[in-house]
Amino acid sequence: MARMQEHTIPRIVSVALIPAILVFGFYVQFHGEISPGGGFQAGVIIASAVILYGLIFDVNAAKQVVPPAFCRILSGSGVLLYGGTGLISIFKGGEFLNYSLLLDHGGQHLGLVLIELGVLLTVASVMVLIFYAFNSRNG
Amino acid sequence: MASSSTSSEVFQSVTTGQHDLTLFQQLPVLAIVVPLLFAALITIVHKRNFALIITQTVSFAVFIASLLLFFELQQKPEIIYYLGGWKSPYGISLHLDLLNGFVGLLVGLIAAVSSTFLPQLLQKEIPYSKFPLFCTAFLLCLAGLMGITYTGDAFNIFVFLEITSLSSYALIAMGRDRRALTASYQYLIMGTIGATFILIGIGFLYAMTGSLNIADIHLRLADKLDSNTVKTAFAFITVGIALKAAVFPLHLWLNNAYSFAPSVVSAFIAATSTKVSVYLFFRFFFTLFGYEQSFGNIELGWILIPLSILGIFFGTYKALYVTDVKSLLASSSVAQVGYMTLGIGLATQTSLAGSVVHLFNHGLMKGLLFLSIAGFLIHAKGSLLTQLSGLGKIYPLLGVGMTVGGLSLIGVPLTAGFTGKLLLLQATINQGHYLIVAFILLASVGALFYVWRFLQMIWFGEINEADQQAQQEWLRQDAFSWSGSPLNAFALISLIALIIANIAFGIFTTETVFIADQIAKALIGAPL
Repeated sequence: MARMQEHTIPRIVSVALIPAILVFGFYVQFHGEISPGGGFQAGVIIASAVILYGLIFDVNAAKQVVPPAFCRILSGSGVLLYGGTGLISIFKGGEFLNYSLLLDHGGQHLGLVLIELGVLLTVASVMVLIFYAFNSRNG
Repeated sequence: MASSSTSSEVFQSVTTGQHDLTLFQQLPVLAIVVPLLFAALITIVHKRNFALIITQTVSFAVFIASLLLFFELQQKPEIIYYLGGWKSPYGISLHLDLLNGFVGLLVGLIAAVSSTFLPQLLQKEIPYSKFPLFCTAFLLCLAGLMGITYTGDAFNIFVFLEITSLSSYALIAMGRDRRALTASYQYLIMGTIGATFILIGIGFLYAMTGSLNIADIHLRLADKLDSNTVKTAFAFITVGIALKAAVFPLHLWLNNAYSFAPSVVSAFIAATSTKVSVYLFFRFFFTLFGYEQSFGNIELGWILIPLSILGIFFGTYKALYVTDVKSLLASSSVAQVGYMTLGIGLATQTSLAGSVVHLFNHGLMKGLLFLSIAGFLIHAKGSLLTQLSGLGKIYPLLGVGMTVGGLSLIGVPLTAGFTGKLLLLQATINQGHYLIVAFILLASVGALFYVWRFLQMIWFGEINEADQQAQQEWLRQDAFSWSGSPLNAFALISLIALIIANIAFGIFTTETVFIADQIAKALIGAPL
């Protein structure tokens, strides 16, 4: 099988596509609370940009951009961000994830943005990690 | 402006508006969230010792939390925690009563005790580089189990079930040889089917009632019980949980999963995971569908009792011939789950109490047995019966652990296993099912034989040269030589505690039977 780098059209198209995918991922993320989408979908879209890069330009190139260790740390951080948001409301004397206590006004909004960000980090990094893990099987 | 004021009124009517909860009131959620967050922290820090200390500390913290909650539940009938401040049925709530307080206590206890064996596991079974991720999976599994136990939301049960299942697939796959991978894969396929069935069932219920809160679904189902959708949901949920709980004939994944998992994982999962699934039976049959529906309209007993008896028979039979001790104990688990589901199938107050008591006590004895084997396996080459030959003489304390656990498994009086079986026998006699009585007694004789198989090997078998040398070698290196066992002081204390618990719950039975009786009364009588 010919290596992907030798295919000119996918290479050039993906160079054009990857930034667009990333931007679209963030669009889905930041409009998540008012339109369809959110952290999970955005995470998958952003991860797909990295995966596309890995498929076209070799996985090692992708690993230089997004190292596996970085992904591992990011995957834990997302959970911590989500849970930490919940813990703040516990420290303020409310129930876990009671966003109303985060701010006097707009706490619900802030809380939602924070946990969606947590979801984004974890989903995107875990997706990329799964891609790396599958790839490492080929040796 | 008018619309905004009504929306804020609506907001106030569906939220609790609490902002002065004490730490104690936060315990139900902390028991789930703390292991979850520390699991994430371990992946970030990714250091071996850090992972070990965190895992042990968190497991003990969860144990203490579950213990405090259990004591609290003796004073008041239920504790409800509204996540996010949303009142039920609008939000997700944790709903604790005596039943899940009891099960949660078992999960916390077993997690704490098994976590003390992790250093031994580190030495022998898990590569150093994988240990932090192993701890992550362990804590995720704990968080999931606590979540399933404490939640009062049907969909939440599915979510936590997935967390538990996925992490336990990973834990099992880390077993000492490659067969662990196929065992884990088998479990993954079966477990996923089970979880999917549960999800389909919950989906049907949601379609019928528009609610996910268990207590709320129960109320809303009252006039819809005859609909085919509800019956289909019932069927899906029953089969799904039966897969997870390893009820015969859906138990085939269990044997390999328990046999090839790392020994501490076997102890943790064997003593908690199937028990929590049996707990789900209680929750769905009695709290969600209600006694009338499950045993009046649908007559679940006709399915559950024969399957339980077949499970008891095949589990006991298989335990009589397998050559691997872990596989033997796994087969006996199938039989013991059979006792628990038999109690559910009979659905009288005594039988349910027996089932609850047996659920708790079986967790204690399987935990003890698998942890003793984990102790042996630090030096033994494998868990074949012949490989454990004479090890009781070298490590007397572990041998005592196996003995007490084994006696408890048979159901010898003055051990924990006796109480539950006695209650079940009483229940069957009261109902006049003499054939089942004879069968339980016969199965107990079978248990006597399979327990004797490993006890005889451990105490009276020939001591292998290699084992002797391994012990001599270890005695030279280790400070805790007085114990005569290859465990550190921490693990030793927890092992002794489990031995004592297994005896104490057999001698001082009034308290457990009283609690179980109250639970059974609540299940049959007025569901929450």
